[in-house]
Amino acid sequence: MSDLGVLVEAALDGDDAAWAAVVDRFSGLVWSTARSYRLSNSDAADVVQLTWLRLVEHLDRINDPDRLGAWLATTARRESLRVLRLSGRQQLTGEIDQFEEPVGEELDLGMLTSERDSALWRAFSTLSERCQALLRMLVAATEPSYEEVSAALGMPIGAIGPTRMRCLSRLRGNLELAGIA
Amino acid sequence: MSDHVDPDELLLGELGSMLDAIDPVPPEVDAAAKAILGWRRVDAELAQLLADSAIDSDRLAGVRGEGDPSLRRLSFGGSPLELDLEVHSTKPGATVLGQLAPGAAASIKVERSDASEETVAADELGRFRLELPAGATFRLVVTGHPASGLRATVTDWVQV
Repeated sequence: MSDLGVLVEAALDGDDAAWAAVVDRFSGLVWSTARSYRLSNSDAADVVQLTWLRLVEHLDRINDPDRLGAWLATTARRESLRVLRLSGRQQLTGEIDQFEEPVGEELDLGMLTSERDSALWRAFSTLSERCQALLRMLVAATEPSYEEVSAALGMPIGAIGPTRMRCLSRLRGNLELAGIA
Repeated sequence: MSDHVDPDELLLGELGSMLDAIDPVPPEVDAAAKAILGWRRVDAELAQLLADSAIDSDRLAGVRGEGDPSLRRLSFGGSPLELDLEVHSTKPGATVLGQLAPGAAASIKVERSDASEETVAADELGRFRLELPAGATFRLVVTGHPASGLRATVTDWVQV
């Protein structure tokens, strides 16, 4: 059984430490998914908590622990879309690049302490929504697999590699325009 | 071993550190997630969320203003007892009209993620009504219904 399988089994027996380890494993994936849809802090926190609450009841139904991350990402994506739709912020297409307007993410820009990080933030924040969402998922602290990124963004796995390449090239272009190599 | 570093990986690494500095997972979000294992209902039948009109409907139609946007339909099933909810947005809260299938009287406990709860009754046709504050995350625990016998039926968590 995989490490994750062992943790899930222990959590099913009521082991809080094992459950906490499962949360730690996927916390970055679930948070980044909600943030990829540019949810505010409080909306993202609600979606994340709802996703974990859902998992608690479905824990004994996850047959393959290796698919747990994709299950969480799918749940967080669907609930993020629900928040956007109910607030009238998204067209009904389900596409990540169909936002009508940027919404209020509250980022701690005071944490940008170096000139290079500030330039990197400016270069990143002027990318398309689609590029920002994909790059954000790819660098999530828990290093999601392409399957998990696909589930988080509703993007076919085969599109991730080419899109990644294009978005990084644009990011590099923005940095060069700003005079940062 | 080569000491060549892929420039794309290098740039992604820098981006990851930068985003992690300005947008880390809030500690209270992690703490809340870690505190909920004990909420698992091992003793109950799970009525899974099968459809949510706020997510699933209108994707083909793509027509804005179709139907009543303030009305949301949720269906729960895969269990002997099924539930349909109509969520009417009544700012600042929501009115939820519920229907049990098969229709029969039952007791319905509304459990919210802030740990508050209340109990309402479904009438002999299985109908019930709840008032919830906007944004409430909740699930329903149904007891005393003939379809699930002595066991409770618990729905997936949803947010209004």
